[in-house]
Amino acid sequence: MRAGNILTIAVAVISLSATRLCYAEAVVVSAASSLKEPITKIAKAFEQENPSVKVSLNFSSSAQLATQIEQGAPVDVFASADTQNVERLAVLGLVRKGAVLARNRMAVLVSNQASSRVRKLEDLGEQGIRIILPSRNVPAAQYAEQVLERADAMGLAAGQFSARVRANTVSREPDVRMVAMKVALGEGDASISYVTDVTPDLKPKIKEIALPDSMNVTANYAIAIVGKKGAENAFAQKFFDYALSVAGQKFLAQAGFLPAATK
Amino acid sequence: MCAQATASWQAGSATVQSRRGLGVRVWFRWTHLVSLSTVLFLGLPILCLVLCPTQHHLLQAIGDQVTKEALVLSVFTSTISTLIVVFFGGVLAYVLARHAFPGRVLVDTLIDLPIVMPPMVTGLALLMLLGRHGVVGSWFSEHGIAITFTSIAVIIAQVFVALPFFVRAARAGFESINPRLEQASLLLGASPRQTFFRVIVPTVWPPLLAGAILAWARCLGEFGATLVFAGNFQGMTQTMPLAIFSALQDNIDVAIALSILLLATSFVLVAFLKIVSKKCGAVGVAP
Repeated sequence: MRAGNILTIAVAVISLSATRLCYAEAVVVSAASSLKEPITKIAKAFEQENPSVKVSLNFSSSAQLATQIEQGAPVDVFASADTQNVERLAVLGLVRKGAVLARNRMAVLVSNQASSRVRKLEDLGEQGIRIILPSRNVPAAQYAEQVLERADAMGLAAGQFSARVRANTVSREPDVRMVAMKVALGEGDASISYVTDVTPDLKPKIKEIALPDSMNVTANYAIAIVGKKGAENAFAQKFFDYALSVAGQKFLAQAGFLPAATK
Repeated sequence: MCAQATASWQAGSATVQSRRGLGVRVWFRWTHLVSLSTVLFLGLPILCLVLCPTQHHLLQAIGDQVTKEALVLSVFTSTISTLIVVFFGGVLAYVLARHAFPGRVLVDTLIDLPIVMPPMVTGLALLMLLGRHGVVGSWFSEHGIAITFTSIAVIIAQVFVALPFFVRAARAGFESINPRLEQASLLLGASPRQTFFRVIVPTVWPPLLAGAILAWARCLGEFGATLVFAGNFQGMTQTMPLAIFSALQDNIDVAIALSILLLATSFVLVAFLKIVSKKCGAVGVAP
């Protein structure tokens, strides 16, 4: 073995092991896109309280995250926009412990350019309104469906509301953030999405129309510890507890989420 | 054939061995190993995808409305996009090959840009230009012409990402022709159009076809720009890659079935084109 070869191998080994030496512990969190702002703040605060821990965040639609976990993604904590995705993983034995993290409500999001044409929920059924919704398996899309069904049941647009809205749908985006982006750009006129999706930076571009309580749906967000890896990770448990604690819930409330229902 | 190959390999290595000793014989084996690993690296994932036990889903997926619409849309849009690319890209390639003009280096770099740009960035850029409130798009939307969320947007995105592949190949092809050949043809009385179709094209059609196949394949596989610029709607903008992406979030078995279908479609069409090109080559298209 020549000196050059030995040196190369030594450098490789040291740099590989150095990546492990930086942080004593890591917590990998997969969270729904709609939780991006509050979970990022929760993670930051958590890291400040536990300096030896690094929290890695992964945001996508809850359905996609659940599929990733099914396929063996090394996730410690999973925060979903519904309870179904967590239950689906629980049935497969992939999650160990779950709880309701927070609740959310739906609203009509309208782009500035379309705000004169869409002033109330019923306007979504008007001719020529371009509606953007998330892909059907995304929790937000399912909540939107429920809103439409309730609107039909209440006789909105003579029970034709959901059919008209479906006819006006021009795209099904992979997650709620892309939906909000397209509405903010004015590509889409409106969407039925989470109240919390009108983040501070989007407020100038998106108008929010409240839904009547009778038609609105409550989304139950769930958080769970994933798999053996998560169960054995003490800091994963700590993160789970922190998100549910007063401090964590405060960040969620700031973002516009409703507190997890008290039993 | 195997015996011959082995014999010549042994003979070759023996000759070199006698001159340079054992070191070179080891070098021969090492290159074979690296090559084999590379081929396996490319082939094994595809093999695993195809041999995955989802026959049940494959048949179901083929009959599904979503699949049919996605497949038809993909083939339709990628074919049109390729034709557009061949025309516009071909002309551009010819001009680049024959004429020197100020700023040519800039144009060169610009043409290669779509290859380097992440497709999502491409989508965003197209959105800024041709979106409903885009620089040019706002004019279109004022006149009632919708671009985003239509199949037109799919074609635009595909053309953008596929152009460099064809232009590169076509340009290399055109540059390989001796300009004197064209001059001779023009001198002998042929019009520029006749020269192009009867002298140039018969000579360089192999690289043109190869470039077209590459461009067409790129169109078929385009995902990021389509998603951002054209949107995702069944029948209008949901091409096969987008359908696979949607299925991936839902049911991975369906996604695998769709992927196999896309792979098979691409394979059949590329093989068909290669057979056709071989046949044309055998007959000899040049007059």
